[in-house]
Amino acid sequence: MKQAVSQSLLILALAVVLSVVAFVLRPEALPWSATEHEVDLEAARLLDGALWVDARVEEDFKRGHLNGAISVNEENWEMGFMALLEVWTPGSPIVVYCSSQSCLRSHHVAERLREELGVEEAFALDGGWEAMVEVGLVEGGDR
Amino acid sequence: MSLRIFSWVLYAVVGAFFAIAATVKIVDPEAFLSSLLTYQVFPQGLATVLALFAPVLELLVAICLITGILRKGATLLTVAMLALFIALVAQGMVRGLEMDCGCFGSNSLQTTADYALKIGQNIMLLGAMFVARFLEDKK
Repeated sequence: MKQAVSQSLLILALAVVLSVVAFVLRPEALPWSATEHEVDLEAARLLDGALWVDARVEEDFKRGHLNGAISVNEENWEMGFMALLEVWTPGSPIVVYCSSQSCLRSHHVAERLREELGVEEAFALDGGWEAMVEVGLVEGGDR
Repeated sequence: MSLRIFSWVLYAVVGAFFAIAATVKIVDPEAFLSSLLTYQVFPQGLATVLALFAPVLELLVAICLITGILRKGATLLTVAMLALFIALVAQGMVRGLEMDCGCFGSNSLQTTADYALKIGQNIMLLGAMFVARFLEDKK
């Protein structure tokens, strides 16, 4: 047992070293905080003239989405981005939602929109679709 | 088949499971981080650390199990990781969460059957480790 414990500690130590190396090589690979550029539902609903973007997969969007929201995600980016440009008024805020708090798609899409549109006010919705279902803003529990 | 070969086959099967799971997570760490957050146990910072660390540990353990290097330590870590994973999935089932286990890419757990299947799968891997260890000690 003593040997097993010492060997496992050795493996753990090696894993720590390799993880640190991986982090040093690619520090941007994972987000450390999701709160930056995140907005809660209450604040999002108060944003004047906000355009809502659904970052979930196409089939979820077809099953149900917030009225007026347009579908933009990594898979349909070209088409979705063009559709967004047709309805977006430059200067107006954008709120991006995905399925739940644990979903990171909204953060990606919001970040990409900030980069491509050169704006700061593209936010990921805290709680996503689930938060909207909870307050009855949208119907059903579909993710 | 001799006990020794059977024991190695069991280690190799569990090792292969871990190697595949680790590779999927290393290729797409964000998807794994997303899955970890669906457990609703870890804060974002800790989940990010785990998303970096766990796949590396899984891969090392897989290599050790298959090659036999530091195998006793790897066996202990495998048992600990499987037990932890079973506990994490079980808490999701009890709380009625819709989780993505993140085991082999996206792997949604929604119904009790999904949860039971995942827990059963890990209990089988746990059993395989105990049998392999028992046979190795016996030879």
